[in-house]
Amino acid sequence: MDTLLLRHRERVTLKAIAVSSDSSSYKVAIIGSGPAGLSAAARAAELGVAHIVIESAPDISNTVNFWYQKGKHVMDEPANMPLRSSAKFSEGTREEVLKAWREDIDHLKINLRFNAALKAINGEAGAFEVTLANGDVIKAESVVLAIGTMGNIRKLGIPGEDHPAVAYKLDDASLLKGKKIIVVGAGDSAIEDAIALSKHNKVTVINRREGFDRAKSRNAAAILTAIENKEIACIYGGVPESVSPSPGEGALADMIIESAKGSVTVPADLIIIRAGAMPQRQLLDSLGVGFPNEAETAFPIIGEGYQSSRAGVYIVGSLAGCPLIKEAMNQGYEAIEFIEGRAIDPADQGLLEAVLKPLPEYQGVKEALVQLKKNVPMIADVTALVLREYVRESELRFLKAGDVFYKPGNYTTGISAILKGSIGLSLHGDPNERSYCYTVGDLLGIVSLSAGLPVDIWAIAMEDSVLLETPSRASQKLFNSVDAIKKEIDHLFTRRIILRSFVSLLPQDNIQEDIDEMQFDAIAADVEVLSLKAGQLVYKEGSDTDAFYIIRKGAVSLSREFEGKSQVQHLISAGEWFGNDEIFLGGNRLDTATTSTRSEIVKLDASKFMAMLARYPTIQHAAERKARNMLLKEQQKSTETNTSAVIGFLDDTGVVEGTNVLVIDESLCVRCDNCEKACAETHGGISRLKRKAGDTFATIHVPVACRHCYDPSCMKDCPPDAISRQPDGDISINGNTCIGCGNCVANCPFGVVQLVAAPVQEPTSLLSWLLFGKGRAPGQESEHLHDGKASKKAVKCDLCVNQASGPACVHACPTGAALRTSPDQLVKIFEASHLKH
Amino acid sequence: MNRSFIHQDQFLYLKIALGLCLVSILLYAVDDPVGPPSGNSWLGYTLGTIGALIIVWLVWFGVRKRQYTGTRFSLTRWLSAHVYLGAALLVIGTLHCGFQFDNNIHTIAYILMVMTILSGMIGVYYYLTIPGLISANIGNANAQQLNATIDQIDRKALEIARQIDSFVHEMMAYSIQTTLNERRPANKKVVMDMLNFGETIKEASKACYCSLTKEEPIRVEQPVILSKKRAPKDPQLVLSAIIIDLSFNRSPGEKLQQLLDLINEKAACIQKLHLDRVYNSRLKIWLMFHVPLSLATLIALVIHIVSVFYY
Ligand SMILES: Cc1cc2nc3c(=O)[nH]c(=O)nc-3n(C[C@H](O)[C@H](O)[C@H](O)COP(=O)(O)OP(=O)(O)OC[C@H]3O[C@@H](n4cnc5c(N)ncnc54)[C@H](O)[C@@H]3O)c2cc1C
Ligand code: HEM
Ligand code: SF4
Ligand code: SF4
Repeated sequence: MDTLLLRHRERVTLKAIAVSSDSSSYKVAIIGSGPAGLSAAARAAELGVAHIVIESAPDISNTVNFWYQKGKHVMDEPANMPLRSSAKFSEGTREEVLKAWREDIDHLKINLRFNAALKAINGEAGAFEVTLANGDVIKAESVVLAIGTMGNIRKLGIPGEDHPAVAYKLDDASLLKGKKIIVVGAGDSAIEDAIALSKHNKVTVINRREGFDRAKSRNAAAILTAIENKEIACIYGGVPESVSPSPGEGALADMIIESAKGSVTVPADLIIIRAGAMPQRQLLDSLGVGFPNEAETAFPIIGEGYQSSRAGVYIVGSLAGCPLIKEAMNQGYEAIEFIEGRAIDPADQGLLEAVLKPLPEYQGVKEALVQLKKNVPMIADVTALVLREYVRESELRFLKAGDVFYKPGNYTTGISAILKGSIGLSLHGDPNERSYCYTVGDLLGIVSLSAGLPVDIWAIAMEDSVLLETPSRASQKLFNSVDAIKKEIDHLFTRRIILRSFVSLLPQDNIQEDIDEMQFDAIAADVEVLSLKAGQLVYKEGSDTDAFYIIRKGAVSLSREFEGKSQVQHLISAGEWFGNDEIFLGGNRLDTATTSTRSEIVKLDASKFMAMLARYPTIQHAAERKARNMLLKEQQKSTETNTSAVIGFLDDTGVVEGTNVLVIDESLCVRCDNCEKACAETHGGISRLKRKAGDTFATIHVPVACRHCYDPSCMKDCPPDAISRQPDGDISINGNTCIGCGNCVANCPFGVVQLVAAPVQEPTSLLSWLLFGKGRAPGQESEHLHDGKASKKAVKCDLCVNQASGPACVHACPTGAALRTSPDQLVKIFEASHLKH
Repeated sequence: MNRSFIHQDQFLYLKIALGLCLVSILLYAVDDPVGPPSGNSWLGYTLGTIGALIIVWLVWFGVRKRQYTGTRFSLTRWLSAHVYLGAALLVIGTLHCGFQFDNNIHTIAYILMVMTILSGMIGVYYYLTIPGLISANIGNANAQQLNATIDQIDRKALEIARQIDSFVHEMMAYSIQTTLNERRPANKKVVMDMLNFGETIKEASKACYCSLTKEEPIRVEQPVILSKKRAPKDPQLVLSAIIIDLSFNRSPGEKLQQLLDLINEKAACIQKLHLDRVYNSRLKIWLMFHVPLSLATLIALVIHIVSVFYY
């Protein structure tokens, strides 16, 4: 509590070097005082360029200042990138970093204005009029937008909101006990705060609406239960009117709330306002800054010298798609250089050189980039900024003729562009096999990247070849930066996934069938892509059969009606197709298809596909035979309700999203926790699995442990791109580059990622423990001993890729209860054991 | 799922153990030693050596169980081999001594070995039966969730009891305290945290507890058990007492019925929790016999061998 108040006061009493006169005009107006904006301002100040920084918060650098935990260890990733800025920055605590910036501001005399939010930019380059939220207008020749991606915290705008008891986030719920607390809001963060606080405090939630339907279902259910049990009070339809100092002894402030039942006064020691943040997109659209597409995750189009599509408006920092402090600061510096007309090599020149130098006819970074664009036509249109990041993150790969690039079962971890030579694809890795050939400019790895699927084909160098390999996030960013590329990639992906399905129909002994990927081009161009939420209907049992489907992302369950009850028959996961059996056999839909999770599904016209299949009589036959066998098998087991229930369970609990799931057979598990001990012992003393927690169905228990998802949510928003899929398929976090921001912890739907400070591992000596009971017992979790400065890192299951004997949990289970497997394999194991009994 | 330590590698270790026993029996049958069969023949020495090696290896299992890195065979395999070869010792060891029992260290070693093996068999019996019982007992929940459910029931019940009258309220509060003590015997802090959720409960339970431990009954209509000099500590007993009081001493009503339902639900949860604890401890307790016995066997074995060679 006190810390919260203190922090708040610290913000209001901060001495800003505010400039009140607005009539003056500036060379540059810098919007936002985060690392990017500050660095731009520092360079401008150093060069004596007339500048002003406009910051909507009451203090500098809102993201670092407000969103970071107190004492957070700030990392200076990427380690090999030099810092180029007139402001200081090095690895250290949040407080040290902010202190250094404050000193820079004083000493360079940076012109800052707080509590001033950008509203509009009128006029043209050279004569902009920047309008603030309070109506003030500032004149500037250029504008540098450095407003980040965190959005602006929504305030209520009610009288008394500046009372010290009002806060907009909760630092540490466990510090507060016996207080009266009001939480305003009904979203996830409001609910999480309210529940965490309710254990030791009297909490009242003010909800403008009548329910909690905006929150995740798990959160909504939790708060409704808490309200029902009177652990939390809730005022529905409540609108806060004002905050005033409380006259009584019992509380610090009173909040007046209007609701259908009239006006009530609620006393409080702390008022937490969790009304969300206003996204930046709307503002940017109104500023006339162009985006490549409508996607929420898209970054603005940025050209040479950080200029946006609106001339004279420059964009730097995380808003420019560069999510780390050091890069943001470099960009701020460079933008000012460009504005001043001093074209310089970007700070990452050295990094690019290191990547490109081994190229056969290397002449320099610039030339190599030009050549690259020429060789790979797909990236011809990307901007310099995006291209540089793409190359910087990549690595050259040299293959000799006959080298295997990948083989079935491998996961490609990103995209590889062929710069020289050619790569042949073949089903059986047989050199005599006729195969499809990729040449210069083609991209490999698209299916694996987009759907999280292992490759199902051999890729072998036909001659000496050079490839540029790019990890997944840098590739995704490249695709998302230009709409045309995204469309092209989607098309390529569809074409390949159709090819893949087609190839899966081939009889095992047939290696001579000549299938040309290009034959699928027309069909792929003609598909419909359905983007569906969880639980949406694809088709209904008994309906007409006119199309079939391939899952690009997500999963689908097929269910069938039995005696009035719907029973799940199959789970279809990413990369597989469904709805095809009815087409091969004729007749109406046998099942109802429903999405299990958020899914993207490719819908293909049946007649067109059949027409193409007719060209390959052997394949057509094989397909029909397969479908008929399937149907026969299904008729035998259609009364097997257990299987249906277990599939339903896997569906409900999201197990279907995993490629490799830890499962414990509870009828064998003797609850010895040796699995957890083994995990702790092999991972620095901290177990990454929680045996007791998790979901259970019959005797199948799915503990809380990473499932290595097809489409990992944890990976979506990792600033240093530290999470990636490894060639074996495991999703792993790179402990060296992780900055401990906690995004993956929040994004993983299964709660398997933990942030831990690296423990000081006490060594164990089995002998001395056995004989004398001395020291840490093997497998016992380490005390989290550290000096308080150790940086926190995200950790989770890494499938023990470094252990020759495989996952330690499974290897250490005495009874054979623990296994790691894929969801469909699990269903098979379950079926096998139940058919026998 | 047919992948347990019993089935490991298609019963490979069972087959090996059976083979070992068969060969020993055959040799024993055809062997014609000078004098009665005993450890003192070439066959006796052979079987003795094999048996001793197996015992040392069986004890090594305790070490292997705690090696989490750098091992080749999974612990499941180890246990499978442990169980079958351990049982085979029954045959090998008996044939080794040629059924010669006496009042000496040799026979003591034999008896300890047999006791270890028997305790191991009990362990296997538990390992194969109890996990299923645990699942059947608490279903898809775990002990923690059961505790959370009980917490919720307690809160609801207390609220309803308060609405009935102050005495029922006090009794409910007392019952909550006894269940807390039962549920988390070691964790005082958790109990206090729990009591903190409302000053009322703490106060009520304190008052109630005091009055219950006093000599004179505070109410005329106090139920049989609660009026005893010392209040019961068993949560089930307390709950029954409340049920008796509610059912006999009060006029029926909607609130009363609600409270009775909650109490029944709670009693069922507590029963489950109790069973869960019994099962879980059963899975561990047998090892407290098996391990010391195995160490005793090892020591006796060493003495047995030394004395054989010494004399
Ligand atoms: C929890 C967390 C931990 C992190 N840890 C690290 C780390 O250890 N190392 C690292 O390198 N990176 C880390 N990051 C990422 C890093 O914080 C960001 O990349 C960086 O802050 C981006 O800087 P920026 O200047 O582009 O934007 P921001 O820092 O977001 O600054 C934008 C500024 O603009 C202001 N603003 C917004 N809208 C307006 C408006 N309309 N008018 C006026 N002003 C406005 C905001 O108030 C804010 O002050 C972390 C991020 C998070 C969320
Ligand atoms: C002389 C014979 C035996 C010896 C010396 C012996 C020794 C041991 C030892 C030292 C352990 C390790 C316990 C621990 O550290 O936790 C163990 C565990 C075990 N033993 Fe034996 N054992 C013998 C025979 C048997 C037999 C015959 C069986 C079964 C038929 C058996 C079943 C088990 C089981 C189930 C475990 C527990 C495994 C676990 O939970 O990790 N043992 N034994
Ligand atoms: S190691 Fe095996 S038996 Fe022991 S708790 Fe884990 S799953 Fe259960
Ligand atoms: S951390 Fe979570 S989201 Fe990421 S792969 Fe594992 S289970 Fe999936």
